[in-house]
Amino acid sequence: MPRRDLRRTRTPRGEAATEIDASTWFADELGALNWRPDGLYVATSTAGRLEAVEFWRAAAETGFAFANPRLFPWTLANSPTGSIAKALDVRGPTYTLVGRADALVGAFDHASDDLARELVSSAAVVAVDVADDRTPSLAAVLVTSPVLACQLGIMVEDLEGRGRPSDLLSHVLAHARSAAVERRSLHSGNV
Amino acid sequence: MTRPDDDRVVVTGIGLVCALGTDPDQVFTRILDGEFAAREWPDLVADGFPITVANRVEDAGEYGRRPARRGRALTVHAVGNAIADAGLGAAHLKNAGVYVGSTMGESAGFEAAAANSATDLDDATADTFAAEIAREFGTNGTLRTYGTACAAGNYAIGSAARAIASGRIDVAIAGGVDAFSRIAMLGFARVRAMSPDRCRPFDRNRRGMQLGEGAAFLVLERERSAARRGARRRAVIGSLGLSGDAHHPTAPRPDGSGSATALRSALLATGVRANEIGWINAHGTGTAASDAAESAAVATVFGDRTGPPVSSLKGAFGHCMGAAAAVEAAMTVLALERHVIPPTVGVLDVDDQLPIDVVVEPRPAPDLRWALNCGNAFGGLNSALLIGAAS
Repeated sequence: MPRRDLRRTRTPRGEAATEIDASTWFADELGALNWRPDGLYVATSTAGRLEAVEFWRAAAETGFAFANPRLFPWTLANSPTGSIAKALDVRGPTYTLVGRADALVGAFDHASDDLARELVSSAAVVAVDVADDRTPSLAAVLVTSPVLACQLGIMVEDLEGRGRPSDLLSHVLAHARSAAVERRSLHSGNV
Repeated sequence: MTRPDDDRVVVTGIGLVCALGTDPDQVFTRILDGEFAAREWPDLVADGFPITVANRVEDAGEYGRRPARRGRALTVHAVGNAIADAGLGAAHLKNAGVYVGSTMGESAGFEAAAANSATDLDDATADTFAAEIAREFGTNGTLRTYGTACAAGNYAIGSAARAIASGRIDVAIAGGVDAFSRIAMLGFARVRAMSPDRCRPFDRNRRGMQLGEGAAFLVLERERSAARRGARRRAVIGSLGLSGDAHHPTAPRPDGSGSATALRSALLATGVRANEIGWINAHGTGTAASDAAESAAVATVFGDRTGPPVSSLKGAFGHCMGAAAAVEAAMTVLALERHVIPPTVGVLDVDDQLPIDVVVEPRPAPDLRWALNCGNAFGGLNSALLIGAAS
C-alpha cells in the first residue's frame, strides 16, 4: 500500500483554486493511495461555504438565467465527501460532520462504532478544509480497528483546541507515531 | 436481534415548523386531506428566479426579522415545542446531546457575504444550529452537525439513537433544519431538478421537486428512563441504514442498488424482517431519475410490486432539504400512532412503470408496526431510518 504523507499538503493551484478544484484535488490525492475503505467519515469546518458565496455572487453578476449549474452542487457541505467516495469507491456509510474538533471527534466516533459493529472492516477518516483564501488542506487516516479509531478520537478531544479538523488531525497523526496506540493498525494507513 | 424492550430508544417529543404548519398533528391531518403549501411568491417573480413556486413558512415576521438567523429561529421554535411535548425539564436537558442535520446552513448569511456585507461565515455554517440549541436550552452534552445534504435529518436522528443505545448519552434532541434558501432555489432550478408548478412524486408526468423550508426535532430517550418519568412513548427508533453510490455528484445509480443497500442495512441492524415493514415514507422528490431509482430499490428489497405501500410527502410541504427527513420522520411517528398511511399529495396519474404500490389516498393501517423513513442526497448518499410503533 503506498504511503504518502497528506499532512498540511496544499494544492499547487493555491489561491486560484475553486471549490470544484479543491474537491477534485481532495479526491485525486486520496484516490492515488489506492485505499478501498468500506466507510468514509469526513470532518470539515468549511466545505461548501465559499462556493455558496461564489455561486451567489456570480449569479448576481451574470443574471439568474446564467447561474452556473456546475457550481451549485459544490455549495453543499458534503461535496468533497461525494468526490472522495467516488474516488475510493466507498459503497458503505459516508458521513460529513461539520464543525471543528467536535466534527473530527464525531468522525472517529462513527468510524469506531461502525468498525465495532462490523458494519465496515476499514474506515477512512478524512479532514478537509478550505481556507478563506481558497487554499484547501487535507489530512487522512485509514483505520481497521475500533480501538484505534476511539483512541484517535480521544486524542483529538484532549487537544481541547478550536483548530480546523485538518490541522487537528495532522497534529494527532504526528503525535500518534510515538503514542501508545495500536501502531500496527495505524501504520496500515498513510502515516 | 431486536433489542430488549426496556433498552429501546423511544421518541418522547416532537416539534416542527414547515410550510403546512407548526402543529405536528394538524400538519398530518392536512396531508390526509390532500392539502399542499406550494404557491407562487411575488418576491421570487420580481427578482427573476427561473422557478417562482415554493413552500415557504408563512409568518408575520417571527422568523423573518433577521434573515441571517431565520434557520436558528425555526430551530428554536421546533426544539422548544419538542421539549414541551416531551415534558423535559432543565435537569433532564443538562447533559442532553444535540444532533442536527442541515444542507445549506444559514443560507442568507452566504448571500449577504456575496453582496460584500461584512459577514462572519462561521456564523452561517451549519454547526451554528447545534450551538444555538445548546445556548438557548442549556444543554452541555455532545454537539454533532451532519452536513449530509438532503439525508441529514435521518443521519442526525439515527446517530442520536445510536448514541443513546450505546450508553454514551441518556437524552438527545435530534432533527434537521434549513431555512428557505435563495441559493438553493436558484441552484436546483439551474440543475433542472425543479418543477415549475406542482411536485408530483411517482407520477407519470412528474417534473421535479419543489423547495420547502422548515425545522423538525425529536426528543429521544432510553425507554426505561422515559417510563420512569412517566413520559409518553410515541415511537421507537430502530437502526439507520446508510450507503454510498460512489457514482455521480447529483444523480443516483439508476438501478437503485445504493438505496437498496441502505434499506437492507436498516432492516438487518434492527433484526426486523422485510415483511414486517408496513409503510415506506419515501425520499420521493418528484424528479424522474430519483423516483425511478428509489422505486427500483424498493422492488429489489421487497419484491416487484409486492412490497409495502409507498408514499412521498414532499408534494405537501416541499423538499425541506436538511430538515426533509426529520419532518418526514415526525410524520412517520404520527402515521404509526394513528394507524393510517398518508397519501402522496400531488400525484394524479401514477407511473405504472414504477414497480411499487404508490399510496394516493389515506390508507387505514391497523397493523402498522414498522416503517422506513428514507432520505437520499446529492453526493450519492442513501439513508433509511427504521421507526416503529411504541406499543
